[in-house]
Amino acid sequence: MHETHETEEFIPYIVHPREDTGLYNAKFGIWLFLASEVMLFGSLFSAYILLRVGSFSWPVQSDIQNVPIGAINSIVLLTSSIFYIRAWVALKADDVAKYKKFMMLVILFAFIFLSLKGVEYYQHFSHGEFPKTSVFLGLYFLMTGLHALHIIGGILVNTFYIGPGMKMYSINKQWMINRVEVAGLYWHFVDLVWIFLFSTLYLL
Amino acid sequence: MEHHSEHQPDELKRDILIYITIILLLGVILLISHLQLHILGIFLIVPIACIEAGILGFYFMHLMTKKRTVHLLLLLTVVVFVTLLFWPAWDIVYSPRTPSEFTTY
Amino acid sequence: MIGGLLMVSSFFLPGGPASNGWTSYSPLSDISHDGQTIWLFSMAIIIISSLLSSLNFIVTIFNLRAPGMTFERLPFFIWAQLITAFLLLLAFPPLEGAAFLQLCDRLLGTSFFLPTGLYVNGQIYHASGGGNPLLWQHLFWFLGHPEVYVLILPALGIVTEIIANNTRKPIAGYPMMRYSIIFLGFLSFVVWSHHTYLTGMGTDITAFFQTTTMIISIPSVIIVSTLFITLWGGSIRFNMPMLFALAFLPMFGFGGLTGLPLGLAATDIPLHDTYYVIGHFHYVVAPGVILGLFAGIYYWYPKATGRMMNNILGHLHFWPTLIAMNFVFFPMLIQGLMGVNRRMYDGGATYLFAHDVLFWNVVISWAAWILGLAQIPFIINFFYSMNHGEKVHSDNPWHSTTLEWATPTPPGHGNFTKPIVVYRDPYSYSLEGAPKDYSPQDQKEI
Repeated sequence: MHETHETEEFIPYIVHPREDTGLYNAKFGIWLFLASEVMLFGSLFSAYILLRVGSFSWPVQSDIQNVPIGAINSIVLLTSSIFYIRAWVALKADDVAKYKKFMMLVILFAFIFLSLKGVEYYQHFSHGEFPKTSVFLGLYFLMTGLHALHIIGGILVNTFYIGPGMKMYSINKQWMINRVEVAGLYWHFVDLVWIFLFSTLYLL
Repeated sequence: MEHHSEHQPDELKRDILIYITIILLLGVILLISHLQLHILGIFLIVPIACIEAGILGFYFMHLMTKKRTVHLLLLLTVVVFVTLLFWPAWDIVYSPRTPSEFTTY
Repeated sequence: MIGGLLMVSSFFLPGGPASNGWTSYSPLSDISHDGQTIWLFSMAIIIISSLLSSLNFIVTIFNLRAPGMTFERLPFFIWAQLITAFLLLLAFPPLEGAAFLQLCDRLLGTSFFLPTGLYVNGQIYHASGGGNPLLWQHLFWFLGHPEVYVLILPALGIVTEIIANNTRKPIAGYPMMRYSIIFLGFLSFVVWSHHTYLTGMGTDITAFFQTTTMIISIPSVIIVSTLFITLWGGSIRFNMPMLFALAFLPMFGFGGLTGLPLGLAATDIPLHDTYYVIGHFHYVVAPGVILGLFAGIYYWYPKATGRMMNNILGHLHFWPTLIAMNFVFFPMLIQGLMGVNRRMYDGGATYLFAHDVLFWNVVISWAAWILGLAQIPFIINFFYSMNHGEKVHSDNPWHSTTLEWATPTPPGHGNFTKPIVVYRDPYSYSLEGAPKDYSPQDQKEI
């Protein structure tokens, strides 16, 4: 990674966008990746729709689910999204301390989200509600579990970007800013999926 | 959040406004869910969730500043996604094999 | 590689590897032995690797094109790879989702695919129920159909390159081919349920999928016809790649035609899950895709190694392969029309209606052995020619116009040794007023 300047000439558009597509490589790549993630969660939503309309009876979701915790989690994730934007803005303005502060807030809020999720799961298990208890619960655990895995992945990436990843900033500032922007897109997407998960699995 | 960058003083205000809007919409769908409107509830909650997601994507993910390439990609994805979402369920509902409360024959 | 190793390791499990057919239909795949679990894990890993490489392809094609390389000037092989990458990107994740659902069924005791009241071996199976085996079928085939286009498109691309090169003329109506392949890619997402015609679907949805399936045959016909038309008036060079490419055309065309009765629901009823289906898809994949891939190997071998593959061994490979392939798969069409089903453990011996056509199995077996033996000259050729083949004396031995021939032989890291600017269309052969019968894309003068 130490020959960024050479790699910039070798492989163009790592940092600066190409004129006709308007994107640098990583940004295009992350949007493509998000498109595939839409299809992944989409298949699970499709399974939900199919199983629910094809079933004779479906539990009243808001009775089983802990809606207040779900709502709080939504706000938690949304707030972390705002923090992410502030972090990116701070990095663009060369304020590294503020960037690190906001990024750590993002990671903290992600942990809060996971802990609240853990509390919810524990509540379900102690009521004897496991994935195999019903199709709805199976879907709930799988979809939120997959989402939680994505959050964990995001936490790892964000930690990298305030830890070892800071080296990139000293090599080429714009490169680092781009990377943070791209990771931010991923994080916003995770938040977006949660909005749909919450609406579908808790409220419908 | 007091020492925000000089370059984006308006963006912060705008971001906070978006944040509050999304939370308000969240409150709306919570209310709708509480009213137990069943089918009508579905037709209200899903579009509002889509609007929430749209606002998030538009402003936080800078979708409005993206070029045509990303817009086309997303359009393609949405079309394929909607197909995946509804066609299999259509099969189950309108088929002669599974008696479900929606089949009419 | 990890995914592949994992999958192969399942052969060493006590219960054996996954044995539920490549389509892994539930409920059998939900309740079968452990080989299926390994299959699911390795599929998940392989799918992720597919996704990442399709990301790589798409970003590279969009963002790293040389100056002057507009989308209209991209060779057809690249177009084919681009559409393939999009198909992989958007169609594979649903299978991954389905794999997760099935893993939950197998490991956590959920029943996404197990219906209530399932009987196994005469006894009721204890699962929580409420699931639907058709969910697996829909999710699987949502990938499964784009998957077959993923198989054929690169081969189509290769064949197009070789035909343009060896007829010394541009592809007839190249823009039409581009539009066709885009249309094909898009349509491939909305035809999948022609694999589930016999599951008791309603008539409306069947009619929908039947219509889209018929429509999707149009772009493929356009592409194959364009390639045939390109041959007209060309100065055809019958080298090894061209022989394979020429064989591809009628074979793939024929295979595609055999698909038409399968695409129409009414005629699919007697043909579904018979040997006719096997004959159909093998015709498009074996004489289709594989001949295309062999053509590509013979074509690009001199670029990768600096030597040509041996011609005599090439003919020894080609002719028996082509003839044997037909004798392997054509009889299957006959057997299928007589009603011989797939996946019967005794090959149909217990069924009276099959007796008249089972003798074809002997022919098929002989031809299969010959087909296998015919590959030996190829393997020998491949390894022998690396060090002893006829050396090529230029970077562009086939006198081609496309950019891969502007690299050194073999290409190093970064491919090109000088900056490339693209000046013209990809198939600029026999241009008026040009000194040679080919004008490379990166050459400024005509």
